[in-house]
Amino acid sequence: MAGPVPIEDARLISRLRAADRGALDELWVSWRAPTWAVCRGMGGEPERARALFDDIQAQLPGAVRGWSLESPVCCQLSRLVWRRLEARLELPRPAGIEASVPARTATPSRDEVARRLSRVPPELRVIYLLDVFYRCPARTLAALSGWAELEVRKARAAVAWALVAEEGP
Amino acid sequence: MSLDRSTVLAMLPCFACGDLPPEQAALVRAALDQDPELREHLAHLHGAMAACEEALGEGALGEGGGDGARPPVSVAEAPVSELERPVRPAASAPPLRVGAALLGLAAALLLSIGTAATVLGPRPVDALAPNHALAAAADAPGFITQSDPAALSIALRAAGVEPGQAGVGDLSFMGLRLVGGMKAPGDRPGSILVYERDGQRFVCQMYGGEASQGAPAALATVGGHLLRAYQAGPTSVVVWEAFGMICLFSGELPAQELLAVAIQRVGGPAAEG
Repeated sequence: MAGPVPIEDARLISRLRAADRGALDELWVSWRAPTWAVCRGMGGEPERARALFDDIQAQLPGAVRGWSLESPVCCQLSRLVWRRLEARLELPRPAGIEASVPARTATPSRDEVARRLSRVPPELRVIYLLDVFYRCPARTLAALSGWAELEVRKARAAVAWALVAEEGP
Repeated sequence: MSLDRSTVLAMLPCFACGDLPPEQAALVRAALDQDPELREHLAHLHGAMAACEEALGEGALGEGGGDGARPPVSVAEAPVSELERPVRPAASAPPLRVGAALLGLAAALLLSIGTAATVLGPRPVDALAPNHALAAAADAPGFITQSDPAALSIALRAAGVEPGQAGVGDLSFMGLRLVGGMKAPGDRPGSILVYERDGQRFVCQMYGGEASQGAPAALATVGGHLLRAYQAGPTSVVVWEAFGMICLFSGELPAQELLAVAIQRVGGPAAEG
């Protein structure tokens, strides 16, 4: 799915499957910040983001026991995050994704990015955020989610171009 | 074989993420070599990713929001202090918030191997200088030779690098070829990446924590971020902190000129200090 699984990931997953509490903490210490960032991007308001985050954290101990030894930790965690966000936010599956390339681009400020992200449909926004904070390959995300790889790539492109499109004066 | 421009544009966001099959990435890279506008688009895509990390990532560390914006620490509810950034001395600069993905923005993270040790002297990055030559040789124990950024990122995590420090920028749009990387030696968590251009190797170092303070030759703020430039002979070094990590950039330019390059990488209007 994503090539060889790093040996450290395989060891950690083995411990997680064995309900090793220390492994769970280890996992969460490493990934809580990216997870929180994704929740912030999806939830908007801090309270809502916190609810999403708490939900993912609550689901984690049960989810990790079923994790595969054939996929990296980041990918399996991103799948959990994605699925919980889909469920909590009732994200629809995109019917069609248009990724139009702007004529001119510019690097947005962080405030501008936040503003533009909030205008992006959440079912596409989640893909971009998982890219930025989990860095999972599109092929892996597709395999884990049931989306077509092309859909994942189109979603990524649609959001990416929307963020850098230079707006007129 | 080459790709038409519209195809390259369609692939550019995935290229920016380091998520194209090697053969497709090579074709996009070739197109970038020929087309400065494409390179500009790519730089903006990288910039947007950095801005996104910056916009959403800082709250994860308990800044920029009240308790409601702060996540729980761990499943086991470890001490809240684990989440906090180190407290700066009162006399130091304000916290810097540059997205971790900026680490992939080329020159802003590069240290010139041949000059770093002599340039840095008693400066904030002095203790890191010995790692430059070590990594540049690309044969140190634990060095991972890997030219694919995504694969190297995974390999670095497997080697024990923390996820937040395992990002690998694709700097091919600047003509920099990825050689490989390694976990930073010693007790300080970090990662080291090595790039090559025209036979010269460049090293990016990323560490957790903060750089010690020193009197810089020039300062600039970019979008609220503070960049410090240090001058030593013909070479200068720009230092800033990004997402809880230290970023370094050096070159054989006067401090002000190097600072201008770093400002371009970070983006946005700058207020000279």
